[in-house]
Amino acid sequence: MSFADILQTLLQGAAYTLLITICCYATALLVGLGIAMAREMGGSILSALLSVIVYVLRGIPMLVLLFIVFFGLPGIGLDVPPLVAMMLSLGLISGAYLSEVFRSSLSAVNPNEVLAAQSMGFSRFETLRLIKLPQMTRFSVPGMVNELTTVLKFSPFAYTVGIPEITKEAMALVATTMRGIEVYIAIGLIYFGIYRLLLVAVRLIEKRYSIPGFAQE
Amino acid sequence: MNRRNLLATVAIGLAVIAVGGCGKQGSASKVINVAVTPASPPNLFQENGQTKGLDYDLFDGYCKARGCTMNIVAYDWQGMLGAVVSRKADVAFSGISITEPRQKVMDFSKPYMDNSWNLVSMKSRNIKFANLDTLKNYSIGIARGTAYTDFIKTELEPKGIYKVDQLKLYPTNNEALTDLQNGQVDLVFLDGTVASVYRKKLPVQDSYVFEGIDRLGFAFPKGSALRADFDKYLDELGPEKRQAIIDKWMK
Repeated sequence: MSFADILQTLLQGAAYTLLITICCYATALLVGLGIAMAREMGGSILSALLSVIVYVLRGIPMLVLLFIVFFGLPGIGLDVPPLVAMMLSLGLISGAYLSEVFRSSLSAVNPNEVLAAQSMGFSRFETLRLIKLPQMTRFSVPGMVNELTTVLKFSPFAYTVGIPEITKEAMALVATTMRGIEVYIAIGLIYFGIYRLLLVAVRLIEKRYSIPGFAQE
Repeated sequence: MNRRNLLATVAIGLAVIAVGGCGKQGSASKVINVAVTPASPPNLFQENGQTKGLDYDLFDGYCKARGCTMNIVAYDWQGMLGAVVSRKADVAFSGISITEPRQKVMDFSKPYMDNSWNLVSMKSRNIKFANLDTLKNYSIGIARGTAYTDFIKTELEPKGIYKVDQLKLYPTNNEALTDLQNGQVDLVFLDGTVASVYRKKLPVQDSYVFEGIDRLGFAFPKGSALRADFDKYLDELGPEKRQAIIDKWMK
């Protein structure tokens, strides 16, 4: 079995790795944005409640939450498919981290612009939607890319719940061939490739929405 | 604003596809959900994308006799056991030892084969034990979640032969054996079945063999009706035919 054969075998799992990463990250974006906006718009009670949720999600180990969701919830009659279990664990945890990224970006928006919007008669929601959000998203890009790589690198946990992603293919291959070094180098190369792919996609989106002269991106 | 709507639509669309895509699960009556760990040769492994092995042949025989099909999902070891306990899988097999703690949370079939436990080492080290008196001078590597920990805790530790604290834990046998080759650990605990495979591929030898303490079984969720029928099948198959399947993979 040549190195190319090893790569080819491992690549069978690459589509799953990509799917897990994209699904979990989409969840994380929705959750992160939701929490950040709710904190901005909601009252102090909602804000305190969300702080507790973010605290718990940032503190809980990924594998523990995954086990609770995938193996625990069926005990109370909720059967969760593997990918959804990943979205509810990795997606939620990552969303909590992203909400903090968004929070810091929100506080980076020039308060004078907010003041100006208010004096023009903008409602709170309009201020958030038209003044804060567009700037916040652009400030957040570096933090968002960081979180994307984290999600990619946590994707092997999906093997625990039975999704045949590349790490699973690697373990199965090492068990029969005993060629650990080559297999693990190959898997590393594939992760680099996927990361590159995602990075290019992010750069394209970034370019599409960049405003000439805004910030120093 | 069109752009923002587009982004939101894409995000929600992705989420819906993800949820819906995984929601469809086969509900045909004759499909049996099987959990395996394809890193357990010769009991269960994958070659060129095909699931194979001793356990697979046994259960495949059952399915052929009863007209059912297997829906095989590969988990890691802990995930496989978790899948049975939480009833995600109807049966799990990959050379699973029948142990007391496991019997509390799952039901086992009749034992289908006896298994030895082998302490293997590199041939070049030439470590051999006539008895276990000097065992404590060596480091032992084991795969996490396997039955050896209980064995050492209940059998060896009270006799002062070996302490659980001295063990080095690894995610799977693969990493333990890699460390053995690198000289980071002196001995690795392996099933006799697994050891027979590795002896062919690596310069390792048995330093000590524990006989007659371990039996393998197919694991079912508590109260499973499938288990009784599978036990019946093992009786129908008879010891000769079963031994023939075992010999086919153990030779």
